[in-house]
Amino acid sequence: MPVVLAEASAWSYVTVTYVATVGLLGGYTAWILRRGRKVGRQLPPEERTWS
Amino acid sequence: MTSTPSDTGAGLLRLHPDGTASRGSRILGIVVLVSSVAFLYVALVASAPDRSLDAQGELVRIMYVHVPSAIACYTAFFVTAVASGMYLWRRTTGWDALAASSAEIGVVFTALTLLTGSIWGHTTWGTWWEWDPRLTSTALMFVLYLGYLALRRAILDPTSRAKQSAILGIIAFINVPIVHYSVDWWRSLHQTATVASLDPQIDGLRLFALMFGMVLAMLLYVWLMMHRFRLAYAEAALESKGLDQALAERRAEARADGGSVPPSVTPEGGS
Repeated sequence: MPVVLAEASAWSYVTVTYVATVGLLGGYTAWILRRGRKVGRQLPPEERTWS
Repeated sequence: MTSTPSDTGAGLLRLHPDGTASRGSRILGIVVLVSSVAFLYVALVASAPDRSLDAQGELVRIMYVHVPSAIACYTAFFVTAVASGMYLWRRTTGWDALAASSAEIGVVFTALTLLTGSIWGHTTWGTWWEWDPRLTSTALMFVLYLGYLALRRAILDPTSRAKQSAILGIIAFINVPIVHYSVDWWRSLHQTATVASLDPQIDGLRLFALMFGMVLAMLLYVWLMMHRFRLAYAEAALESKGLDQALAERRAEARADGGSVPPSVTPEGGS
């Protein structure tokens, strides 16, 4: 039983790690894309050399 | 060239007309997204827990995120240092934007490294934080590059900001090899490199999960850089336009007052 409990506890740490990773990287990505659209809107299309 | 949603592709490859995406970044984004799902499956389902002598059990799965994020922040800060050097040599806005973009992404990956390392440390060492050489030098690296980003926000003049940031971008990189080799140079609680030798400490699907994580982190870094660099470039262009407009307004005001235009607002004044 203690082994099962230890593994359950380990999985909770693993879950927190992956949720935090997806949350941090996902949040940062969303911020970049939203800010890119906001700033890009103010730039004339001919200066958006990448599009 | 104006672009509308209808003339820039279809379906998943459709570009937002105002955004920082290109066809290439959209394709890479899809590759990163699909690879992320595959990685989560390999890291959390397919690979077995560590049952070796120095067993970490299920906690080994934290390493598949922790190590790749550390490699990504090293790479990001290396690019910042190189781009900073190139700026000091060439003095072009592009190199400055590249250095700044890479530093910001590096800070995000460093935060992730510290966070995942802390979670792993709590379960393995029984403490969230230890003033160990690797942890301390990583925290110092995090603070140094936060300082780099703060410096960029504190200086208004673009040329002065780019120059001072470039100098800091090079100096701050001195700490990166110290972080990496700290486990070899000093007695450290932190383990030594897992896969740096020809005889890695893990094998099979666990090694594959770790390598997969590293490749994915690099792909994500490149994809984020594409967007962040374009955003920085667009911000620099707008800032330049704003300065030009402010100068033109100041000249018009000076002429309207009937006085002479101060040297600081003439083209020769270099303001």
